[in-house]
Amino acid sequence: MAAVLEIKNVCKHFGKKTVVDHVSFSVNEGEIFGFLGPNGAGKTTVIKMITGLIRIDEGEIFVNGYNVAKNFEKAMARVGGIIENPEMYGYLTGRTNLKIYSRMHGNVDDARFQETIEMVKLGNRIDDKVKRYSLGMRQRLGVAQAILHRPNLLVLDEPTNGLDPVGIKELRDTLHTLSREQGVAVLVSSHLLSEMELMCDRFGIIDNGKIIDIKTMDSIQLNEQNLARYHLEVSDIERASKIAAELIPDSAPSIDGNCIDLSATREEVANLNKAWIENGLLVYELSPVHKSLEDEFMDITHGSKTQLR
Amino acid sequence: MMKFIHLVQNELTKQLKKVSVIVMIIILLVLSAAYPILKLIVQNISENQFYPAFSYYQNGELADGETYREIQEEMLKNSGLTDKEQALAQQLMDLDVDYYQMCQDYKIGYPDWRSEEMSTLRDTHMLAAVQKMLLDGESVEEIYRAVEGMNYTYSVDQSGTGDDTFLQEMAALPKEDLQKQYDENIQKVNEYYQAIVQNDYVGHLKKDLLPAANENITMLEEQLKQPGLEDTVKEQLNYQLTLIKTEREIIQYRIDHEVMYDPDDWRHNTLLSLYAQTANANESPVTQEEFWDQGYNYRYSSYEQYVESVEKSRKEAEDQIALCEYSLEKGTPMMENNDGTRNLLAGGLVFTLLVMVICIMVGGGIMSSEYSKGTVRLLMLRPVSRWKIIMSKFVCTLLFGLCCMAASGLVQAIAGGIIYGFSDLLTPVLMMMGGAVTEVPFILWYVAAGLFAGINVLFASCLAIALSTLFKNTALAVGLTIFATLSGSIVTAMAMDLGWSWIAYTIFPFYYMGGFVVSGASGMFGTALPISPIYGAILLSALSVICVIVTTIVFQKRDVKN
Ligand SMILES: Nc1ncnc2c1ncn2[C@@H]1O[C@H](COP(=O)(O)OP(=O)(O)OP(=O)(O)O)[C@@H](O)[C@H]1O
Ligand SMILES: [Mg+2]
Repeated sequence: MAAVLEIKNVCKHFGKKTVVDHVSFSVNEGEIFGFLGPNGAGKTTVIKMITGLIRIDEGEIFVNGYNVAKNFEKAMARVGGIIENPEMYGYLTGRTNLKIYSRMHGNVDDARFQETIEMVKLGNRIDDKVKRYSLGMRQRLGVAQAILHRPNLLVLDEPTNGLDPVGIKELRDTLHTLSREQGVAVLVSSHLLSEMELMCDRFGIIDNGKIIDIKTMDSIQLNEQNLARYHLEVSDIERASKIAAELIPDSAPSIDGNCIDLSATREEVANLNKAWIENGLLVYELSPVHKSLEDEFMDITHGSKTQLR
Repeated sequence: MMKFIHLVQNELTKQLKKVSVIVMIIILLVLSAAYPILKLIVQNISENQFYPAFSYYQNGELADGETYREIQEEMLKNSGLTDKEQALAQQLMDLDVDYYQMCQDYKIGYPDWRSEEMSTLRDTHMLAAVQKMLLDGESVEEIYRAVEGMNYTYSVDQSGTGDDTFLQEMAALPKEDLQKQYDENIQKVNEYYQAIVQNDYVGHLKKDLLPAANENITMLEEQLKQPGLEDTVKEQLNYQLTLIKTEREIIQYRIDHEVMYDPDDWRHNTLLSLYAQTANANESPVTQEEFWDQGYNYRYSSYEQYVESVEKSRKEAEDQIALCEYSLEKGTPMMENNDGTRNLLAGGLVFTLLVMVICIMVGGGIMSSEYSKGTVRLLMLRPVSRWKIIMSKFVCTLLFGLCCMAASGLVQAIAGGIIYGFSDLLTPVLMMMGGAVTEVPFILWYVAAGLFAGINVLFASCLAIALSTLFKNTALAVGLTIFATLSGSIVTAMAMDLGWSWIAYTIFPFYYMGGFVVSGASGMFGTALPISPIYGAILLSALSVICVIVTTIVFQKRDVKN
């Protein structure tokens, strides 16, 4: 798969402070890349460097093979984006705002213009002044301006900000459609980790200006081989734990009232359940304790959330 | 290129949809349309106002003849003169009061040829009265005290020495000569009186003024023939001779072409200006001692600079004379002498200042508002180089200013044409070019003048955009630019008071380039400062270019942090 966005050893200093520290990653065609990190980690800064808003102190960024610093117009030709809140000209209508952006691109004809408006479902509110829009409507308009010119790289900084659940789902669907069907590469940063989980194929986790880890979604999802933690509730905890200990020796069980948490593969848990029932126990609940992105995130950034830098 | 046009189009869209900008445009156009009407109204008001040739205001109100007499009598009583002297002064006072009353009776006021002749009439009459006193054997001393005591010296003594020399001289004359002078004066008084009462200007020109001018010329020429005249005296006499000869020509022209004393007649105005410019063109600089003694040094930095400025205004006056003569000869009214549409439009160049203010408003917010609203982020992630974005903002503001000026000019021309007639627009403008009078089509002149005046808009726009980009603060950009441009008249006036002639090299005197087009450098600031409009045009243009370059470089390099 071809890399649409390549970031190579990029650094940025604000004064003496190093805000982005040798960050490297790439986003491929048709891939949705989640960009995670606590407040002040440097997400927006990286995104601004990709879009040429701030200069790159060290390293290089390539979009579609063009160096952003050296060949800005070519590199940006197929980039769409939202950076922080998509602020528009409030005294103009949504349509005029879009018109302004479309003129700056060259390849947006009337049909495409109309298609985009329909895609973000702004309906006839498109002819209202933007200052009368709700936050979510602005966000939708933001998405519209980002995809207007058929970019193959979308750079979205917290695009779910202010969207209602339906809006979030629509955005997710839109992004999925774009990436799956049109091969658009998407770089998206967000705080809503559960959302990111549903949306992304890969994650980069950044803290304090450094990329700490890049993971694929698969690697943190449940599957056959992986150990996972399960939460079970049974009628007789004494006997149940004995049986469990026999069946799965190193399950690191923890008991709380009638509940037991333990680590096991899918196979092992199913067998345990069978054994319990055969022994006349009643099983009230059996559920995987989802090892979620959030845990992953918390582990990696080990609570640096509370310590803003 | 196409893309750049789109960028400019975008900027114009953003500006033209702002309520504040729309309101300013409407104000501009409404004022432009109202301007000819307002001018007409003001003119009418001032024409209907009566400014008598002699006036005395008491508590802000024009005193009538009766009141004036009371005031003068009061003054006479408190003058400390002896009874004898009071009786003499009373005679002069009666004349003064009578003529004061006459102005009101016959509605003799400005502008009217009669108001000019009234002083001659009164003064001649008073002089005759004094001569009569001498003939009657009154003492010089008493007469002088009477004249002095009532402040009539300036009326009676036309030589202006300020002491009783003129009385002594008259007293020394043989009785017959004095009698002859007296008779002549009385006759002059009668003639003038008749002419004024009958309001017979042409008759007055033919019967009184033309012979008087001829007589004066002969007299001066004879005086000049006298041997052993001092150079300064000769110079003075020649100066007077030139003026009187011009006056005679003017009188002759008036008689030949029946040009009345009528400010609505361009030929009348041209003749007045011809006379005034002849005086200017023949003025010679004072000597170095006089320069210091008479306080010229407060207004000029050096004697050389003073001489230079006199020389300059002499040249200007000579050009004006050539233009006036050409104008009269060809029957082509000069713009400034003809109260028509052209003159109106020339004065209307002052609307560039309003356009300038609008452009400062537009330019002062054009970049900073993108920052403060955060729209700058979505603007700059487009595949468009930064220099194109900033250049499109300059081009947009300047284009906008140009359109405002054109629209204002057009509205003024239409409104003015309806009121003053459109045909005046077809009259060419007379200009000195390469030492010769040249006819320039008015439209061409107007466009050129507008562009020249527009240099202010150019500079103000560029400065406002530069400050807007550098400081990202609309209020600061607008405030500083307004200060740097509109404060020009105050700052220049202050600097002139302080004798800072270097102010001529700053931007301040050039806050309104249109003024130089219409009234010239001396019309704007007098001749005390070495102010050159061409220098100003170059200075402002150069500074504009610097603003553009600096802004582009800074904008190109700077991070968008918000
Ligand atoms: N203009 C600036 N001058 C100095 N430091 C800045 C500036 N803008 C951002 N920073 C610093 O750079 C660091 C990274 O900021 P950035 O906005 O990239 O974080 P972020 O990951 O987007 O955070 P958030 O999740 O809160 O949006 C922060 O420590 C911030 O204080
Ligand atoms: Mg951020």
